[in-house]
Amino acid sequence: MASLIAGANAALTMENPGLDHVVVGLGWDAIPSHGPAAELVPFAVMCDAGGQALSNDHLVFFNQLVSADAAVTFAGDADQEQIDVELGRVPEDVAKIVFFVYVDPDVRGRGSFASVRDSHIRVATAENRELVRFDIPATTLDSATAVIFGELYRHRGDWKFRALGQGYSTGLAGVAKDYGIAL
Amino acid sequence: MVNRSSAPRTDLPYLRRRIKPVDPAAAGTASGATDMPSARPPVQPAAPVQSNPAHPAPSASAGLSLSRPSATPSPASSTAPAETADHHSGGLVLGGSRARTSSPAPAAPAPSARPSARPGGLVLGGNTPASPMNPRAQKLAAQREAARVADHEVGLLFAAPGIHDVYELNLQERLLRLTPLESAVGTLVVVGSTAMAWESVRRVVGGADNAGHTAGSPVKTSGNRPLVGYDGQNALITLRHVRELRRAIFINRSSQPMGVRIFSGASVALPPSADGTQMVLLVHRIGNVLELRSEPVPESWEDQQIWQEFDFTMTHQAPVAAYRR
Repeated sequence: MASLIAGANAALTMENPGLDHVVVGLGWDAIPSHGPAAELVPFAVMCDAGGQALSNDHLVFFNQLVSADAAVTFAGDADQEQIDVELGRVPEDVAKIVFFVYVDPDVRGRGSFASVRDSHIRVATAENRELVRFDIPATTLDSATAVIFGELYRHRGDWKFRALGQGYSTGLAGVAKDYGIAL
Repeated sequence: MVNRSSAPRTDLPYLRRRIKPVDPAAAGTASGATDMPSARPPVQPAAPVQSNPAHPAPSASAGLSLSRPSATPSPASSTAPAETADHHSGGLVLGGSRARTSSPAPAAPAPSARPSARPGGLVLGGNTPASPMNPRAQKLAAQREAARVADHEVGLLFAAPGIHDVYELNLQERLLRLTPLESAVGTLVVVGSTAMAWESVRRVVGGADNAGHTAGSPVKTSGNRPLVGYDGQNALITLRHVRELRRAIFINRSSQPMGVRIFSGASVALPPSADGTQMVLLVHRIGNVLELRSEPVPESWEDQQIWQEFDFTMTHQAPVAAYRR
């Protein structure tokens, strides 16, 4: 298992020959609240070489559980959100898959990542053997309402993972604008 | 003659037993042997059994076997183990196929495709392979199946305009449909409604009006917000938990139009009452999309009558004391 820092990358398929299926786990601990709480939503978007979403059918989240090509599947549950990626089924025109988490923009107060601590993203095999992990430093994300956790991307025929930890103060709208998601 | 007409298959362990010398007299006295066609190809019966993983051919090494090895295995029984299973009534079977060697099995090609060849009860020593699906794979398969069903359900719907295509829902433009993303982000805000009712996927039904009166049961979400409820004068649906919603209805008693707005800022209006008819807004979740409908009802109808018309029957919470008995 390798632990990454923001900006670092790790070769997945090159160092693990035969790897064709990974589980991307996104986790966090939120400060408990008896009042309305910030609700975090994990999200995956399949992008082309230009970094734009291929279409809204190439988004995977709790209300669209499988991508159009069935390569990416949302398998979240109560305590840890997981997204399965079958690398062999990812279409060639998908250059990268970006994983982010946004705070649901509820009109009664959306909240931010200030109430979140110990967030992380990890990539594991189908047998749950952890390959890489990125623990996101929480100190820089207090005002963020969306955070890009990391991305899987193609590199010379192989798949690599890059840790990002990039915060957005504009929430889902800001991420959607950058990645061409039609809201 | 039965098992030695071709070169033995040494690569298949279960076929090695078939090259044992066979006493023709024993074969002839075996029950049912007289019905066995003499020209039957020797290896054909077993081949399809091996090719079907759901009914693999029994082998001496497979599974738990509590039976005593047969001293004189008859060729008939060794070639048709699955056929003998027809005579088992479907209870506990110990010993797998080898215990059947003494039974008067009719010799016939192994019927690999016959469902009756599988005993109905617990079989110890049988040959059913372990399920290759681990719990995580099963969960993933379940998710895929759920998504496939949801997509199939949405695929059956007739074409409908989106919220960007419709300015007003009225008697002519009765319906619009949100996308999965529009149905899931933020809050669906209904401005101008005076009463509403909701129903969750667990058939919890409740109602409220903008004066603060409530009926039935609320549906709380994990974010400590109601699934559907009033916030001031606006009625809200918490779309983060849209999968818990089955439907909701919004009634407008005022002289102003009712408006619906989603996270992207897109909105649609419903006209106020006119000519003795009022338009109510019905929000249905179908798979992973929300459908917004305008339904005309007589203006004279009370809220309860409208709820009744659309089959919103309020559920009542049992008093806490009821659980202490």
